[in-house]
Amino acid sequence: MAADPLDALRLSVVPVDPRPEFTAALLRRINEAVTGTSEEVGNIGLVIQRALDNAEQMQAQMQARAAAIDELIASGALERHVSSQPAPQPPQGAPIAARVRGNPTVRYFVGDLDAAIEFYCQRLGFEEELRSAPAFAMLYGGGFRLLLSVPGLPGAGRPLPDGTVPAAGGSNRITLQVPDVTATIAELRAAGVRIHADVSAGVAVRQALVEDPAGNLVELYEPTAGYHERSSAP
Amino acid sequence: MSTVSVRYIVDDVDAAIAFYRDRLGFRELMHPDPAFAMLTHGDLRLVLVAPVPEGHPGGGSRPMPDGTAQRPGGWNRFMLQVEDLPAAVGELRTAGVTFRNEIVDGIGARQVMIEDPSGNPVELFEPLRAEARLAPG
Repeated sequence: MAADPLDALRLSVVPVDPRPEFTAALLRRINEAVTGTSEEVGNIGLVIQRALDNAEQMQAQMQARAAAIDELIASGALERHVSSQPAPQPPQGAPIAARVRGNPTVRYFVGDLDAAIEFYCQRLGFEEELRSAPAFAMLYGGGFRLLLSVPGLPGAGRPLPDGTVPAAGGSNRITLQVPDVTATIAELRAAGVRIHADVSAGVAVRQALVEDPAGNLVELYEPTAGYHERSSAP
Repeated sequence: MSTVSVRYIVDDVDAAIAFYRDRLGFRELMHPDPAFAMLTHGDLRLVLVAPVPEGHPGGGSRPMPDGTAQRPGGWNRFMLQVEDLPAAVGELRTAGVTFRNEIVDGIGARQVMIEDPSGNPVELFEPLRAEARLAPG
């Protein structure tokens, strides 16, 4: 917690879409560094300049998104359940009124909470929001809110009514976009991270799979020609 | 620009699209191949893929280097926030959706787990504390 935001730029994976608070902190810190001692400027010169440009772009995107959401709120469209509002493609049946705003949330099961937190924060650039040891932690990174729960412990790790205990693993996973997946995988491999599947080409992406210490998969991908990016807000 | 994606392995992409669209309010972005679809809901992009053989152009669901097939299931899941969980559960039960458990009151939220047609879990939660609520924007 409260680490120097500049540290994020030294991680193997720089979150593409961090929280606005983080972007603002990073921008502040970079500005401090640029106007700071000549020694520090000398140390990080070009990197800082590039990062400054990126951070400003990110902040502009965040502001645009916030403005769009403010508009939606003002229009009343988000007042109640999204699905109770007229939608461009109205779902049939009895849709669940899920209201997904802000950071999408994913829950991963991990046997060793501390090891998982260290992995996601040190290797993948997540930030620790809260830790309720030994059973639960909440991290933010790559646009996600990532909940870590420990199987068999109170909370989401508790056994089902039939006694089944949740477990780590499986094929489903979060995916994180990185600018250069080959370089990222090389760095992670050097850091001792287990590579589950090396870089391969898919349709419009190059991708690879790494494992967290509990064996959960994380997919890293780099967009290539023809990559589809959502063009408008939902 | 949304870069937040989750990939779920499913046996039947069409059945999965119908489930996520009709039961959970997702929108279909594209379905260019029988083994691939991309849906969206709020800031979440959900990539649905069916296992494909080695050599298939789709790279996300080929067998692993050791030959292991990718498959649906497990416990890791994405979560959707709802405003009235008991009401949501009632609607989904009426619609014949499979539940893994009953509503559980946790520390920050009450929650329940449902399954898509391939058996992948989805967690629905209703915040009980401010910290558990997804911040607007």
